[in-house]
Amino acid sequence: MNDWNLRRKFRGDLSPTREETARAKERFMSQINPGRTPIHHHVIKWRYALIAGLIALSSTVGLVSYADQSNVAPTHPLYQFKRLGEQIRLGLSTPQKQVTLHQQFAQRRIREIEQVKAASVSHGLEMEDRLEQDFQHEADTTVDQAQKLNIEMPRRRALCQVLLNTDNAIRNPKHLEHVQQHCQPGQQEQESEKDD
Amino acid sequence: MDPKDTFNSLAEKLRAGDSRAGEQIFDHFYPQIYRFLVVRLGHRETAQDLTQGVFLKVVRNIGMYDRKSGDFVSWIWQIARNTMIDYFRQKKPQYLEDMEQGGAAIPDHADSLHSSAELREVMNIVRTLSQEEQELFQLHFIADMSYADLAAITGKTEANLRVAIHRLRQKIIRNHE
Repeated sequence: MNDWNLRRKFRGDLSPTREETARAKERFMSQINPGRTPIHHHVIKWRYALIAGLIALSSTVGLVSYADQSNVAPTHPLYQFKRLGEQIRLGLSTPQKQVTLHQQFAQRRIREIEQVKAASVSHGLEMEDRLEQDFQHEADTTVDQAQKLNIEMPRRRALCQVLLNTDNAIRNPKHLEHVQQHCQPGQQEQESEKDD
Repeated sequence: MDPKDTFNSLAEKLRAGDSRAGEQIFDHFYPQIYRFLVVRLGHRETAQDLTQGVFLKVVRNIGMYDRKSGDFVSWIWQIARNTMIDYFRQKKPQYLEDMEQGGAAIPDHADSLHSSAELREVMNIVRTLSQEEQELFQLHFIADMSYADLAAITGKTEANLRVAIHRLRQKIIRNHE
């Protein structure tokens, strides 16, 4: 019978559990400093989770803001943050402001297509196709919303003109037709133009 | 520095409101006192409550602690013993026999605390020893107290304690064979 072994076995058999000890210690410490409130472990876990969440949120906001302000190219690692930023800006804007934003984003897509062409990346063609689809979506949304919101004709024409001036928009006749069609004044507007 | 002096200094710091000193005292003594009480009472939950009670008394009475009157190790163990005796007094009908023996005897139902047959067998042998030997066994082998701490609470020298524990071990081995 080994002295040390026997003590170790009794220690293993009769020691308080960690949880019991932690609870007792917390009570003891709170008696030493009555102002100290007991800190429960689940509260600590939630605090860490909250801090981690806040760090992740602020990092994302920072990256989104940087990517959006710098107008990074589609080949940039932060490009998806830029697109996320655009969605957030749209979500936070009034319908009137959204029309302007869609038009700006359409122009961004055109510039991005040029950037991809210049970068000559391996999957450049796929990216160009995707960006062109995105451009068409933004341009269509611009003209559709402008019409839906009954934006006055001169401003609507200005928006259309910006879109039509881009080479890529003109390259796709179907799209060009769509934009032109939506930028024509309606019956009422034609009459009021005649009156003027 | 002598371990006794270390705890005396920590006790003085605790008296001044130093929570770190309190933490060190707790970490050292809580498991020892718990194990000592659990074997005496044969019941974990009661031992847990009483051990916690010991530490609450330490905080309440630390203002009265004076190192000139004795070492902190003996002081805290005296609180642990008194807490246990008070408990036996309150539970007089059930623990009358325990109290008559000064609370030193290990109750039969304490067997359920041990997971191995070897420990149960050792405890059965310990029950046949004198009250003083049982207490020495509980403090050294179960509470896992060092010779220095044992010397502080028993008032014996470390050399005497080493001899006593050696004899105790031989006695148990003889009975075990």
